[in-house]
Amino acid sequence: MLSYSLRRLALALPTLLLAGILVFALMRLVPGDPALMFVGDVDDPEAVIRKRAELGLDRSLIEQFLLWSGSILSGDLGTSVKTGSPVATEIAESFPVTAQIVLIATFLSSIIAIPLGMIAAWKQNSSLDVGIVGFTTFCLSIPSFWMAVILLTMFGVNLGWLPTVGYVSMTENLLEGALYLIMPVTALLFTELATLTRMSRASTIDVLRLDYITHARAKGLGERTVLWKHAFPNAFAPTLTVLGLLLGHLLGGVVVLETMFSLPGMGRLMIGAIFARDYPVVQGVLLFIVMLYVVINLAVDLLYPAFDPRVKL
Amino acid sequence: MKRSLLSCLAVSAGITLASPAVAETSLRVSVNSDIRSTQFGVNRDGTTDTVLHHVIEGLVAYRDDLSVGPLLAKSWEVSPDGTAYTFTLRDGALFHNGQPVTASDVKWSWERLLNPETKFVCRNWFDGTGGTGIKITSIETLDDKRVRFTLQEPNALFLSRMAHMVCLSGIIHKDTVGADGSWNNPIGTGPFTIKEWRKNQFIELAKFDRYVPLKEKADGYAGNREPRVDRIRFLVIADPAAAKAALLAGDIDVLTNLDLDAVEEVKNAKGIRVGLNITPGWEVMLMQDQDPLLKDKRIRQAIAHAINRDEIVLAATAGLGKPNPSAVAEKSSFFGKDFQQGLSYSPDKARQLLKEAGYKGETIKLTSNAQYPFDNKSAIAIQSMLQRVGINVELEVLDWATQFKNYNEGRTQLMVMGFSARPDPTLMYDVFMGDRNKRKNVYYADEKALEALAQSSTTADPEKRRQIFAQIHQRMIDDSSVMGLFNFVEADAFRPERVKGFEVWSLGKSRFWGVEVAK
Amino acid sequence: MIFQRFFRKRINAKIGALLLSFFIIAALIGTIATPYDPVLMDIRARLKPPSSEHWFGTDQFGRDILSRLLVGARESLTISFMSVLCALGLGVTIGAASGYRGGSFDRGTMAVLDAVMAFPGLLLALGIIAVAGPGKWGVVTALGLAYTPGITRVVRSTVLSLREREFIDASRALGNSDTFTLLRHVVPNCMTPVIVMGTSLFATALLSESALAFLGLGVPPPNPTWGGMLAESKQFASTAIWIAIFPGVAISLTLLGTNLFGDALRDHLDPRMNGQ
Repeated sequence: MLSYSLRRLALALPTLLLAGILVFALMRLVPGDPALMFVGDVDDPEAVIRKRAELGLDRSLIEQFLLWSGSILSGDLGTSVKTGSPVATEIAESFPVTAQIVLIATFLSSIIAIPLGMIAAWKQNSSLDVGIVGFTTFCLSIPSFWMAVILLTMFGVNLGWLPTVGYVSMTENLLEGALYLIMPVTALLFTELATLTRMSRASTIDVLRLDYITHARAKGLGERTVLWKHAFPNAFAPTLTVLGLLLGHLLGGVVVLETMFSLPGMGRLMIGAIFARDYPVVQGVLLFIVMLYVVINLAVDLLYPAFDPRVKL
Repeated sequence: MKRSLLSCLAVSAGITLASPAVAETSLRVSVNSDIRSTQFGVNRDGTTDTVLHHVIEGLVAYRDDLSVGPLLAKSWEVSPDGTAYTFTLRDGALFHNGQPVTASDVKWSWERLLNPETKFVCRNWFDGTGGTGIKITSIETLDDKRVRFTLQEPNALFLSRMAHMVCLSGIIHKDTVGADGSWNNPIGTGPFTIKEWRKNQFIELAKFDRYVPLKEKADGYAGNREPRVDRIRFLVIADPAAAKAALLAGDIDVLTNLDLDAVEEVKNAKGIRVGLNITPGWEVMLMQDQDPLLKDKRIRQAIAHAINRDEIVLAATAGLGKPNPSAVAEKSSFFGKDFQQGLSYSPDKARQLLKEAGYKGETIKLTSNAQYPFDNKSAIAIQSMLQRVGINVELEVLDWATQFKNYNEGRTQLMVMGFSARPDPTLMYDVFMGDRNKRKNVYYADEKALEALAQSSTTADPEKRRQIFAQIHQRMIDDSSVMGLFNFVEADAFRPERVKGFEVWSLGKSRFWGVEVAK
Repeated sequence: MIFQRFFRKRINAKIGALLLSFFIIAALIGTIATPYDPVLMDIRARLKPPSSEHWFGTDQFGRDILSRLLVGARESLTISFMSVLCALGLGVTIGAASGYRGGSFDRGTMAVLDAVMAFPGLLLALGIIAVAGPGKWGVVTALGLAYTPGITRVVRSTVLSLREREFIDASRALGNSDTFTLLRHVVPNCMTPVIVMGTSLFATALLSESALAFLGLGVPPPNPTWGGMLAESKQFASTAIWIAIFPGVAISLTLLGTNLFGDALRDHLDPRMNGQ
């Protein structure tokens, strides 16, 4: 397993390189100038030129790329144009915030969505099935910024139960930290439910058709036992893949929710950097996300055999 | 050194979470973005200025009527030939580290700003390299409390530029800068000190207990800046709807830059007051007269005639802004009837001019951005109005960085732009007028107008300057390359039963000295 | 015949088809005629609640919401449909070629796709919109490219399992070219998962468009899309809720229709279920 993991990680290197080239090229294709954004509303063409030189933007693209990749290889992600602090620090500060929300929300939504999907599959084509799909779809169809407005108004303003602004890390203060996370986690939960429920429903339907389920039923086992003991472990495996993909995407930043709930997460770091054309931050965060993605997918693949005995690594 | 500041913040974080034993007063204020750094005038933006003006003080500052008043300098004298300015420092002024402020600190601070290595963004305003006509030739200390700045030639705008909010020319203690040139927590002279900065969350200021204010009444940014609250926490809330919810929920005391569409609603909410303020910030539409089509003055005039400013104000500012065709702000002492004149709203005239110019329905691109509501909404309204007279306008909504780049390179046909507040009309005209050979973001380069503009910065007599501005404005209307739309309006909302003494002022940037919080 | 069997006993198929056809008809109506000009501003009539004059009220520029919804139906459905189509086209081509050819070509493609897949959609969108110019087609390209890797992966894995099957060998043995074998035998056989994924992406695209609009990267005004209308309405949550409700309901119901229909289609196409 170890050698498999190492091989997989080594295979990720070309992906990382490609992602690096891609983001580098993309940021330079997008019009806009980091130096100009830095100087802002002070009208001084000379200052812009000086800043460009300072940032090394006056060099050729190849030179810029080599310099950047060279510093990456020596473990330095560079410094933010906007704030002047190291990109690594900015990632280290913002990633835990995003991770907390995403992990908690994904965990909770799996607990809810997987059984829900199994029930829908079990009662396929009934009105309960339509009801479950309908409900989760309804949850999905409220865009997260609207969900945030609804939650903020209801629990923040009208009921006054939850704080509308602020963030405390749960490692600092578990209870207070949790308080600030309730709303963002709820909003995220709603968007995840539908995807996971539908996936769980689909894979359970697949499994329920298989012979061994028919055997189990023929043996006179109760439906509930069949569903939980026999169908669940196998239906869970494909859902796990989707879960991994979802997690990979979400950890990259839930920018809309972070904006609405004023959370200092990685999504906001990224979008702020994109809008300010803060090249080092965009590039650094992107490489980090790709790494994350590779690691999560590896973890999912390593977990897979535990649920699906047919798969061998 | 920055790293040590960060780790310092991390340690103190644990302490602030516990409720303080002594009843401290604290004020929670929302800002829509984080500060960029504590390096005023070097790495800054609007929010950075707002926060750091509580910590750092310049010698002079703007008053509410946009004239220049005292701050760290209690008074100044100008020599008869207009080249020497002698400032006398405020009595009892101390740095945050307890050291008294002396003339040599002023000299050191200014020489540091003028040193290219400092990367002060407005250095070229003062060292003769930027075409402002100001060149500081010497800074001398006359005694402990008096310092003399000598200019190469007299300039009407020296103090105006010195007081400018964007280029905060603050006086700081030498220890702010380490021996290796690194930047520490700034040691200024302002009423507050920086207590804790948590990136993208908040920046908290603490009262400077030994602050000795000026006797002169607080007026704009000038005068008495006595701190009356122990803590100010500027919370970063990026989304306007979220900020509104935070205010209504009582999680913040003051909301700066309230979304204008929410003013009506928030005003009617219990226990909340909204302060509205028209600032010199100016929304314009630029018409690129180098464009093959817009080269024709008649087409530009037709466009101007087709636009109804009142409707734009309604659409872009919920009717709260003020139409203004000129670069002279209403609060400015130069303002008068002359500056309210623009080409009249007349669709018929527009159609007639188009016909004369032989306009055949060519597509004209109108550029704006999605980030700034003023630009975005004005552009939507303008497009609709121009369609009505038969001009085929295509709306191009970019992200701000892209638009700003196009703006700077002059690459546009029609563009909606907002210019942040420049208190003196010359400074505002400077933004879009100039020599086309030197910079590309010049949108009006009429020779006579440029001559007049050059005069305006060397003329000291206010009445003469007023006449010059009126002359520029007349020429500008006729030329119609730059069409003034309206002055910005800023709304700040607060809870009056908790926050006492908070007032909006003409430049809009919120001030929290003199503000009290009910316990 | 086929239709009858598809709809029979499938309540989700019936409801889904009903909802989808309703909105497609709305989009068609929006293309032909609307009660008012959807982009024409009437600023004096801003934020008017629903009335006999404006059935669904007016927005902050005094534009008729019903008219905007109708035109928005066309825009939103087109964007979602086209971006899914674009992703399907690219994904099936790349996935089939990559799975069929295998070897270093396959590894190379997968490395590229992994890189694209890990890209935050937002960054991709900004980049593509900036390069392709803002507008409907920029959004379509951005969403399409963002969805391509997912489809490619699905197609590729299906092709990998098909490659070893007898009928493929038979086709090869008959001397058919690779391209012919691929088009005639491989691609048709991986359509089921593709169609299922397509319906689910359609729903995602509809929502992503509103998230892009929220961040200022959507279809530029004044052209209405449902997502854009929703993003604009956020400020009026408590004062003019009708601005939000109508596009919100439209998105909700379309999504519901798509998901129900998609599930039914999936069940129907699943070969193991046909005997049922």
